Amino acid sequence: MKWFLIYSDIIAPSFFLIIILIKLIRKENYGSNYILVYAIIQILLNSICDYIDFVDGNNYMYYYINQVLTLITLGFLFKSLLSQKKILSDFFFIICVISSLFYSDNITNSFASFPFGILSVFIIINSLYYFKIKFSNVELNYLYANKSFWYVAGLFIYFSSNFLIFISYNNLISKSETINYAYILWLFHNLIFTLMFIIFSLVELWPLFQKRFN
Amino acid sequence: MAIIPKEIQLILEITVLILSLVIFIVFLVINNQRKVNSLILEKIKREKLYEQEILNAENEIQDATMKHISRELHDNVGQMLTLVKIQLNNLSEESPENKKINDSKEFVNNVLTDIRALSKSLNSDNLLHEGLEKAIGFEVERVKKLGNYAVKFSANTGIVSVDRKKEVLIFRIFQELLQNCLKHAKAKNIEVSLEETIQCLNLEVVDDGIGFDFDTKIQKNGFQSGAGLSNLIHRAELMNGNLIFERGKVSGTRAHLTIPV
Repeated sequence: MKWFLIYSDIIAPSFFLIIILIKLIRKENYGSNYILVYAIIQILLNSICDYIDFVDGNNYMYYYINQVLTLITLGFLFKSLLSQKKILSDFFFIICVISSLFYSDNITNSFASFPFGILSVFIIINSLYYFKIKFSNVELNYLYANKSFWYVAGLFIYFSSNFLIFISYNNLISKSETINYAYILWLFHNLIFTLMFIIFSLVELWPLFQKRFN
Repeated sequence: MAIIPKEIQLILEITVLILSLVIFIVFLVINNQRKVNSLILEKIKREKLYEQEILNAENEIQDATMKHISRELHDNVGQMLTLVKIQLNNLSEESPENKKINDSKEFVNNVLTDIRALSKSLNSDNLLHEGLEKAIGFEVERVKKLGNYAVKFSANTGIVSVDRKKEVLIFRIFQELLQNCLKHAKAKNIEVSLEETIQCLNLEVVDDGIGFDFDTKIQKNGFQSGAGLSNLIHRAELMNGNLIFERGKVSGTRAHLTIPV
């Protein structure tokens, strides 16, 4: 179980990627290119981070790169989803990029808690804004039957739940009394990360289930 | 077993709490939208039902009015013309050589025939007594007799039996389509076909007139202008069918009515 939780940050997006590849081979439509890119980034960078961690190296820089690439990818995702109100999304996006750049001096010395915290706030605000504009109209709306809704819901669950872990993690791994236990939080983070990719995978598999049982 | 520091325990507990709360919010949003959707669907259903009731009432009123006019034409105008005809016959016996009297007699005879035909056409009870095909055929013959139009009629029916109420509505739609060909399309040639299959009944009216663009007619001139057409479409929808208007291959309009049976 522990082994699975450690490597679930690679296993979960890989499972999602396999589903998308099968869909591509079968020439079926899949949800979003941005989520696909996000999954590929997670597989590559989490593999590098897990390997460096395995050989007791310093993987902080790769987590920082992960944060920057995630911010850009998901920034474009929300830009496409909130196309009518993109000014607000752009504004937060610029703030987040600037915040991440200010942090770039420390990328090899410490875990990028602050940029991850900023990224989480960016995703939470955009997700809430997405829900607000999509559900504020009193009209017939089957948005929950839409893949985009579940992508945003998955990201919202992951980033809002892990916000506290992200912002406190650097502090916890720098203190002697908590350094040996911080991994418990990271394992829990991986659990929520897996939950997010389970949601993404179910979104892609759901039409197949519907076909099978209809 | 080592004791987990309180700081980590607290973060873990708060994270679990936030996770539960966020999942709860997502499901709350979905549940709320489902309730809103079901209320909207209920409203749409009620509006549709109300619209159908109105349309039904309109159709019933129209049918009753037409029957009343039909009876008035047959019993009142027809009777008076018959009296005029008898009197003209008497006058004709008194002076058989009077050309004016003989011409008037023939004219009254023609008017009487036309009045009877019109009266029959207006009364759906009489007309549909022998079925939709005969009724349409009768109407086609009536238009042919006007002499200005070449009307062809082909039918392939008898496969299924169509509900009486539906027959009345289909016939009224047909009458309206035919009138449109004569009044607005400036058509010379009209082709009517009636075809039944196991699933549906297809009625097609094709003319070689000036034609029109349905969407433009509704949008550009406002709903008022296309009200007759919209009403026809609503009547078709009332029977779960559909009525489409297309441009003809060369010119004119092709109206296609499909009604499930």
